[in-house]
Amino acid sequence: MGYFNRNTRSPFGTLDIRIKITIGLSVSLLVILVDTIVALCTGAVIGTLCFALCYPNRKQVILVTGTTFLVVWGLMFSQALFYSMEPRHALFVLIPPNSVLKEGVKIYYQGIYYGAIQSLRIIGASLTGFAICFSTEPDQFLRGLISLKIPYSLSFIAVSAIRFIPITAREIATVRNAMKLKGYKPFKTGIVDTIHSEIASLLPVLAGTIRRSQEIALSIQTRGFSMDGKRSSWSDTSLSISNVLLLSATIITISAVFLCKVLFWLYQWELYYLPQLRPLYGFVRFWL
Amino acid sequence: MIRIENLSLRYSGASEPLIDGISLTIAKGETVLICGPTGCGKSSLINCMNGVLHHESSAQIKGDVYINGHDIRKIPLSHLCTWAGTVFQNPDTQICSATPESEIAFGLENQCVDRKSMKERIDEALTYTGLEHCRHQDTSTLSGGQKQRLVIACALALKPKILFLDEPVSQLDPRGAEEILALVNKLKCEHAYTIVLIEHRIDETFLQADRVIVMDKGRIVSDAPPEETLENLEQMRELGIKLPHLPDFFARINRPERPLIAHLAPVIKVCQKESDVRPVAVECLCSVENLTFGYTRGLDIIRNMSVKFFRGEHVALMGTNGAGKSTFLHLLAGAHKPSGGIIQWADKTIDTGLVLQSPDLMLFCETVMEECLFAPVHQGKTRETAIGMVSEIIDSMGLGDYAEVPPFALSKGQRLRVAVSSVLTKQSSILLLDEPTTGQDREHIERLMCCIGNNFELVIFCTHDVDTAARHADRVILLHQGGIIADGAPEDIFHDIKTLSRASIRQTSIQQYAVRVGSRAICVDELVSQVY
Repeated sequence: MGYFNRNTRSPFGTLDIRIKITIGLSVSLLVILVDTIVALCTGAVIGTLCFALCYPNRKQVILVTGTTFLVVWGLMFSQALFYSMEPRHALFVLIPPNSVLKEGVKIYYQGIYYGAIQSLRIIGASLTGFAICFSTEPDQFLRGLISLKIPYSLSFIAVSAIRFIPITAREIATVRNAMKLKGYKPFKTGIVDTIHSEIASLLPVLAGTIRRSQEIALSIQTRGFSMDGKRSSWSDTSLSISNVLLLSATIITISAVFLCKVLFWLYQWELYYLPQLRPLYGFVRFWL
Repeated sequence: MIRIENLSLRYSGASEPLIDGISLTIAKGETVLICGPTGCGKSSLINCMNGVLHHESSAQIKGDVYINGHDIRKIPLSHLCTWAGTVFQNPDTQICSATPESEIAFGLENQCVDRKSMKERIDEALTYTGLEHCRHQDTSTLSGGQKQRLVIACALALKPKILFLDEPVSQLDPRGAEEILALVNKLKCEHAYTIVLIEHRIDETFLQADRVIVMDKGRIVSDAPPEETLENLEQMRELGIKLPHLPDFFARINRPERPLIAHLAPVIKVCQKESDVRPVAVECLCSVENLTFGYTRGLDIIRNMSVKFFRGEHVALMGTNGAGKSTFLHLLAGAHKPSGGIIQWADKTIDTGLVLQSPDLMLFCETVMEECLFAPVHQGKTRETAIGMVSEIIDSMGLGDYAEVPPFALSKGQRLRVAVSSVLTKQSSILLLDEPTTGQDREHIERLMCCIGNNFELVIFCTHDVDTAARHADRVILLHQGGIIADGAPEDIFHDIKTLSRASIRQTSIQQYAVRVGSRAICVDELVSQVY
């Protein structure tokens, strides 16, 4: 029950990796394309749904909630402070105008709103990403990347790196534990020593990572792996009918949204206008 | 099958060659045990034989290696693995897939084997290694022995005729080691595989070898059948190699016999000495009551454990992987908070020092001196006041010449001693060692234990090595599934076969022999002292 548990038997986890990657890419594209609160909320809801359907454990929920909260708070607060477009009106005045800060420091209502919009974009994409990470074994990732025509050697390197993240995280925790057991407390012996000790703490982890990568390289070489070698495939790459339907629905939906937005932008920039498309322009303006 | 002609290997920047003019022939179906002190070039020799260094390394290699009469330089590495499979020490860094099935498929995919043949070969390899029931299990949940059997299965699936095994049991608990050695024996007896095995645990592997090669400083110093090698045990002793117990015993009592199996050894009359009068441990340093702990709620690793530790004791914690040994040490060190029960120290000022299973993760400073100064400086001492005490400790640990050397430039045994020194400078009175013997040769273990000596008021160490526990502990605690199943003097514990088997521990050959001659000795030294 840790951060790195993979809930492969959850409803989202049982999906083929190609569908998961497609959903991930589609949600990311959707939140970039759309601008209305409703559409952005839809993206966030899809992300939340994917995350909920991967049956995260308590630690994973805490991790994702914490990360999301920090992102939302950071974006809304920074936008509230630094929003510069007009019209804008201040909700609070933190520091009144003075000779140094001629406009003072204010919290702008429009900034909060703009920050919330940006947060919704990030929530949708990041929650889907978390759902994919928490429900996919590295092996599945490898197959997914290969099916996306990424060279096997690169896919293998990427997936091996992912696979060793928990081990590296454990090692970092062990080193910190060892430092603690030797009486180390940050800032106890001054900032310079703390920075020095913090940098030094990476040394054994780096050494371990290098040693491990040498060992794994040696192991796979002795099993005939080569960067440019031809390979056969053990896994069955065919998709079930339900997976094909879900994949098709995802691709059709995101393609339709993309097409609608392109037609709307062409109309907006006065490059292409078709009177018959007026209902579509209206739909995009109010809903997308 | 394998022919090596005048092979030399030198890494760039190294002053001495790691392999120095080795010539060797290994016949089909032979099992060859290679032994030697740490760093003598054993692993490099294997990596020359399997072609990895010839094809992938920038090291300077002279001489030739032939497999089946073919120069390995001329055979692609991807093809060589179908002639010779290699198994390394650490199963965790050899497994790169989520399930045993896909792990075995990895090598077959690299050989472009079609899916139908792949299925047959995977089934065959899983059945042969006894892993068919965990075909779809997450590889990270397999035991150490299962992981190493999986690595062997991966090699076997490629149908090689040669198997190189580089310390395959050094990181396994006794149960895992037994599984692997049984499998190796099966491969030798049933399929006449050519096996080249490197191992420090000679007592368990000597029996399986047709030939024993002893290496030192990149050279072969002895190459003979086991019986002949046993004639020259003194040479192995000088090299710091662990000796097979029974031949060592017979050599030390000047008998001509060199038996390897206890029940085949001639019976020697021994005088069962009264056990040394142990100082009665009266001063309790630590009292553990009803200790419970788990990393995950509802999954306790330590269950309701109660035990007391006394001043002056050297305690060995033993048991299979997952029995809770390391967790218990971490709890004693205060690295984890118990979820139930209490750990009560006699004095609140008592400080514990924990040396982790991977001492390398405890070394983060630029020099040995800085490493050892870390704890006192962070305890509030000035460098000037601490330096004298630290220098003394470094000297006492035999590291005086390396004070200004980076810890990572030292040998494995020396790094372990640096880790212990860095704990010692914390002026801890309690030393906790988490598997200090893993991957260490006899000389390193003896030196470490000698350095520890009486520097601490209490030493608790976990180990899988029965001989180390027998030689260096005056109390043994057997753990099983988070609880204590036996706690007592080593001679009581190591002669209680029923309890030992519950903890998946086997008596060493000398302990089996001691039973046969009516002694309660548990190590060679002790039995030698009992001979008339």
